[in-house]
Amino acid sequence: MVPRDAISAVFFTLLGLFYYTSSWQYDLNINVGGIEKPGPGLLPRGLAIAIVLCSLVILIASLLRSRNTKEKRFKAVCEDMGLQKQNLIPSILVILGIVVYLLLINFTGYLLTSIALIMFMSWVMGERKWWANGLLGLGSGLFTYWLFWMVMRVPLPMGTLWE
Amino acid sequence: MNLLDAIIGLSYGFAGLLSVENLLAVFIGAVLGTVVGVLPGLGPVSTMAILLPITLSMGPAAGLVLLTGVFYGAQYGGSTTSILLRIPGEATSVITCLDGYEMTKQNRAGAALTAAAIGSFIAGTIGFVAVTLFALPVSRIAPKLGPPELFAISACGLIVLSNTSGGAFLKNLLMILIGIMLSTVGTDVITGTIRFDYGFYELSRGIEYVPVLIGLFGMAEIIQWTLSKKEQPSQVAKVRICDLYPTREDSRRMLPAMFRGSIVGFLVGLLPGPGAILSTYASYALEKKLSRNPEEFGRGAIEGVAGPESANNSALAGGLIMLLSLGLPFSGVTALLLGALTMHGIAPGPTFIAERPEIFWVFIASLYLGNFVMLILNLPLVPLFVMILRIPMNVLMPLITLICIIGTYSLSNQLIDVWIMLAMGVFGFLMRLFDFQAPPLVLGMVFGPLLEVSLGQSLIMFHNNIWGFWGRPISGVFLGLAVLAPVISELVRFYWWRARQSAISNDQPLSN
Repeated sequence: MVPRDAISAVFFTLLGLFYYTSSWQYDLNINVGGIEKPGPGLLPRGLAIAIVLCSLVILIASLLRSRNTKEKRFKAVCEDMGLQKQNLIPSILVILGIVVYLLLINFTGYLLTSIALIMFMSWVMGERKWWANGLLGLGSGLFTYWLFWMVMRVPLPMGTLWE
Repeated sequence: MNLLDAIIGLSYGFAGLLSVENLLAVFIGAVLGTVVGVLPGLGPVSTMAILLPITLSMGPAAGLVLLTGVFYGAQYGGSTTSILLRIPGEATSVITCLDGYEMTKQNRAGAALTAAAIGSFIAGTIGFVAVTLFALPVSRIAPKLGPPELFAISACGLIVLSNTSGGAFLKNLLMILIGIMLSTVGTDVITGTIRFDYGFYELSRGIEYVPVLIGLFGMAEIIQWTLSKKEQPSQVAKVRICDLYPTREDSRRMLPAMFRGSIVGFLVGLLPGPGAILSTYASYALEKKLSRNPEEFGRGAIEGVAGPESANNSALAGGLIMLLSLGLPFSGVTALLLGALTMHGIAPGPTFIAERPEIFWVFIASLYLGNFVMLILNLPLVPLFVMILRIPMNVLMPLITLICIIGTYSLSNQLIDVWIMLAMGVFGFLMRLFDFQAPPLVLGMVFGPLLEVSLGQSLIMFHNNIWGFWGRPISGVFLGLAVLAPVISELVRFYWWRARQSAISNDQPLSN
């Protein structure tokens, strides 16, 4: 089994390499009126190298360690954090719900979309009574509408559907 | 002269505090913080991050007061559930469970709660007196620091932070580097070049750290809660008001522990890192070492409650001096307070106290008042706060999610911020799964622009000669410390490892 640290180290190495290649388009030094100044690429390139080096050290250390000692398996880590496999789908649904909310909010407006999101989240989180979900959705939607729109004067999306 | 300045400033602060908005902020911060402290799962930093956008509609002083109140309230609330239920509401209250819950089992819950509350009050007051006295003189030193010194102090602070944040040094360092990397997106301050926008107009203005913060702390918490086992708390021990009076013996033992805890907490708080958490362990270890009855620790020693509970409250005061005087936030909490100030167009640092005394002194005065409010509010209302545990979290979580979303949106009325918040929430949860810490990433983001500007200005001063840093005493010393810090840390760890090994080989438990 691949050690946990090795997986994260590979991810950060790739991220560092991507950042390094992106930073090539910016100069290391620029000349302004005959004075040499550090360019916009200086810090990013140094950072990218440091990220890759750090990640590689973590990767090597993790691989060497895994030969001698057994690293904690994911299952044990999840148990320590109190995570449960059967809650994986609800948590993915919550994230997807927020994604759909963000895609719809400009079209359907803040209030309606927010009420729908809260009702959906409450249902996903285990509340099966439709009236309880409805009350929670309506209450939360109206409360946040009052707080952000009427008190804080935040220009919430009203929805192009109603124009 | 300094004392007189402080007294005049403080009286000015108390006068300024007497507005409905500020007083309400003190009260709401204290109550909300206690509620958050009682509820396991939702931490003070997450709550402060979620509330950050809401403080935009308040005055800068009231916003700061509310956020700080949440932090202090959470320390009180966290200790209540640690003592009564063995559920640490906060990471800073974990150590309180050891002796606090043992005292509850011995029908001494009232004395433990009193030790925690009075200890927190005394420590808070001592810490705030130190902030009142030292913030002004320290801020007067700050203008003497040039770009090389600022770069060296910040770099040194971040390296030390990597060692003190818990977890592996390299992992923390990597998180700091990722944070600095995120801060380079957008316009380069020195040359005005737009970097890493990948053709997205929204990214050309850079990534704000508040959505990142709300994502890493708030959203990640929601994702973790959705995935986790839902447990109802067990039966709560009943505490009557008359039980809250400690015995003469308890008072004799807890008072010195409170003062020691206050000093330990304040000193640890000055260092970069999660001072409030570290200080509780340092204080517990100190109390155990100094105690005539170390065997009582873990079995209901009142010093084991009084010391750590005092330490976690005075730790923030140390961090506040660094933030308010030098503009350097070296912990998640102070980074949040920095966010609140910058959102109101105020740059904390050497000029803050001189240019905005009305905010600084009102804030300092509110710390004293908030501390007092929490003392008189919390002890009599302990049974009420414990009842909050009965509110089902599946009612609160959808509402908290909505506040995260709309709070992030309200920062600049752009949906891109909410997308960033959501992405950072998922990333933050995965980081927890892979054993990475979030605060170093946030602090990397906060320090990124300062590091880049001070590095650029220093290199211009030194004609691009990187060795110029070593030619100036302050920057040389701090960079030397930055290089030595990991070595010293490894040596200390090696020493402890050897001590433990020898204790095991001698078949004796390690007492401290």
